[in-house]
Order: sequence, then C-alpha cells, then structure tokens
Amino acid sequence: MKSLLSIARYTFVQQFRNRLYLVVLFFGALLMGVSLLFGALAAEQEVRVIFDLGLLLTELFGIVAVLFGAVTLVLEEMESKTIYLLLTRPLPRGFYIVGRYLGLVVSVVISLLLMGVIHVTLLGIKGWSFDPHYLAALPFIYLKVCVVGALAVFFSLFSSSAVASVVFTLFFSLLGHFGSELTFLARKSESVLSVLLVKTIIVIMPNFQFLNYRDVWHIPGSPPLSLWVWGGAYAVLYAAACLSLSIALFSRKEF
Amino acid sequence: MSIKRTVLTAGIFFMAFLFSAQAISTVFFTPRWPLFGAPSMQDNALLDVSGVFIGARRFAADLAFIQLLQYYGSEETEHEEGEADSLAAGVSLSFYPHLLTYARRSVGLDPYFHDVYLFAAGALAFNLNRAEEALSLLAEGKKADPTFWRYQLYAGAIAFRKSFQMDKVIELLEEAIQYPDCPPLLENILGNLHKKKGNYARAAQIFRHILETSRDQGYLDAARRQLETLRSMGYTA
Repeated sequence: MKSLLSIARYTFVQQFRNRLYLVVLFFGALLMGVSLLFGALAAEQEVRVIFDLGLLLTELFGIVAVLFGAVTLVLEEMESKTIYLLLTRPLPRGFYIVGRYLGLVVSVVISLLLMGVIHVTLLGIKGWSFDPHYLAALPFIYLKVCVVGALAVFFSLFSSSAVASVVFTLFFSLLGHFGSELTFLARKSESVLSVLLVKTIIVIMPNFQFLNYRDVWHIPGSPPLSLWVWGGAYAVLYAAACLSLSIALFSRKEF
Repeated sequence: MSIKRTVLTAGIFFMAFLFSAQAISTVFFTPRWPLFGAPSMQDNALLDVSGVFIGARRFAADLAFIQLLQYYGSEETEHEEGEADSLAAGVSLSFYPHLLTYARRSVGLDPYFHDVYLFAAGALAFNLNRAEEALSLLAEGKKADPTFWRYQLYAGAIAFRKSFQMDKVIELLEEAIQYPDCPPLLENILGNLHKKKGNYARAAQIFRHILETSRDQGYLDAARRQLETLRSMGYTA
C-alpha cells in the first residue's frame, strides 16, 4: 500500500511539473478572450453562454490533460527504460498501474478546481447569481475525465503507440456522447446484424450521457438524486474494468 | 496477481458496470433527441453534429441562437421596431423569411431553451406579423416543456394581437414583462404599444427599464432614442 501511494505521489508531482499549470493558464486566457467575444454577440444570453462554454472548456481541457498524461504515463517510462528501476523492486505490477492512474486523476482534480475558480470569477464579473447546479456539474465532469483516463491507460498498453492510443481513446470518448443517437439508429435499422453490432458498441462504449449533467440539468424532472449514486458507480466500475484489463496487459509485457 | 485473476476481475467489473448502466437507464431520464429532430440548416449541420458529438447540445443551441440574433440583426433590420406592425398586408414574409427555421434549429438542439421560443415568437408575431408561425413555435415549446406556462401567456397575447384587441395584448404583455427572463424585444413592443395608445408616462417607464437592464446594444440605443422623444414631449420616467 505504501509503495502504491509513493507511485501516486510521484505521478502527481510529475504531472504538475509537466503541463497541468500550463493547461490551466491557457484555459483562463482562452475563456477570458472568448467570453469577451460572446459578450458582444450573445446580448441577453451572455451569462448562459459563458456558463455553458466554461463548463465545456473545463471538461475538454480536463480530458486533454488526462488523455496526454495517461497515454505517456507508462509509454515514456518504457521508452526511457526508467521503468526497470521500479520493476526490479518487489512491487506488484498492478500497484504500479493503479498508483500511476491515481496520481494522474488526483492531479487533474486540482486543475479542474482551478479552472472552476477562474470560470466562477468570470461569471461573477458578468453578473451571474450563484446556481448550485454549477457545483453539481463539476463532479460529473471529473467522473468523465476519470473514465477517459482509464481508457487511455488501457489503450496505451494495448497499442504501444502514443498516437494510436490517443486516436482510440478519442474515438471511444466521442462515441460515448452518441449513445442516444446510436440507440435511435439501432431502432430504425431493419438489419439484425447491424442492430446487433450497434447494440454491442453501445454496451462496450462508455455512455457519457449518464455523466453529462452539465447538458441536462435544466430539463424538468431530470436528473434525479439517484443519478449521483448510479452515475458515480457506473464511472468507477467502468474505470475499474479498464484498469483491470490494463493490469492484465501490463502483466504479460516482457521487459 | 495472475493474468487469469486480473481478467476475471475485469470481467466482474464489466458485469457490474453493465448492471449499473441498466439501473441508471431506469432512473435517469436521458433525453432521446434524434440527431436531426428539427429541420436542420444544411450549412450549419457540421457545427450541430460536432456539438452533439462532444456532449455539448446546450452550447450548440447557444451558438445557433447567436446565429439567429445575427440573422435578425442583419441588414434587413434597417427599420424601426414595430414598423412591420403597421404593414397593411397581413403577413410580411419578405422580412426574415428564415427566422422560424433558425429558431427551430436552436430548439432542436435544446428543446428546453425557453428564451429562443419567447424571443422568436415575439419577433414573428409582433414585429413581422406572422402570428401563425409564432403560435406553432410556442406549441412546440409547450410540447417539449408543458410545465413552462409562460408559453400560454405569450400565445394569449399573440391571439389577441391577431384579433386587434390591443388592450388585452397590453394587459398580457404587462404580465409577461414582470418576469426577469422576459426578452427586451417584448418590453420594447409594449413600450411602443403604450406610446401609440398615448400612455406616454408608462411608455417612458418601460424604456427606462430597458435602458437599466438590457445587455443588447440595439435595444439600449432604441430605448435611449424613445426616451429622448418622450422627454421632448414632456414625459420622463
């Protein structure tokens, strides 16, 4: 357990030294610039636009940070051979993967919070009156980011190429938002084979609509309180399944 | 941990998340909006699909609404608000013929975007004399969100407007502008109606309110001009 925490702490420090602060700074600058533009264009809807755009950018930057962090997490150490130093110690390989992942997602939560502070400050300047839905949207964004991180770790071990891992993960992430449209297509299709194929894809892909609180909070009767439990459980279990497969792949690797 | 055990663990987690997915589907109302639920504008289809792909329907609807505002604020608006009102010809399709399509594009992405229904219905009915289009848009809004009763209020005002019962229109619009999310477009229309009826003091109050609360430069300029006219007539808010 101590070794797992050491790896997590090492990854956390490494991520912050690498790029996360830059991501946050870039987010702040981009949000300020874009909000000024929309301020002129959106007129009465300025606050709504900045609210939606800010949450979207928070999520996108969180995903970018976790994606590139996760993809290079193990690959970099394999390429620079520094992984040998760790694996020659009595350290279970599963601990290495879980520790690296935990360090990564903890570092991302801090950058998400920083982006949230920048966003709320900007909304406050524009005359936004505090809405508790904002606080509810951030944890769901974080859950989504965690699932994408776990997927990226899996694909980085599966494909052994950073570019291919990024492409696979992005593909899964994008289709994850397409769940209801895929279900719609499956219902319209008459071919049994294509229905089966689409249904398999729906099952394997992460269904990010379950975690897309920032896009549905304003719909009457949605989302219910139970979303917190089931949404959280879904994300944790999906990430755990990805990490288990990653450990299986990593255990088979020969160095 | 052996490979067999880790694969088994992954399998158990996979089954568990399938169960949680099934459970979440039963408790969580996921809006099942077909991709092109509303007539889409081909030029902007890529933008709309991109919004859906990244899970940002709300923001895609915001962008569509901004494009609606740009369309409605384009060159064709070189006329005073309410000028179309005075057009004797029943329906003025020559002004902004695609306004309804723009509105439908935005609410097709987010059917709960109340302000689009209210803004577009107000513009269609009171400025462009196309009450039928406005009523059909409000009916779509009511179908999407029956709990938002202000659609009824607007529909009532439009129906009275059709039958030229201007006192009733003023009464309903007075109620509508009490809500903070009432678009300045309607306030502006109400101000103009009061001015036409000779209620200059009330008109001045409404234009003053627009000046104090609106973020739209067009309405701010229009309200300022109206207040100057009223001031020259001896009425101040």
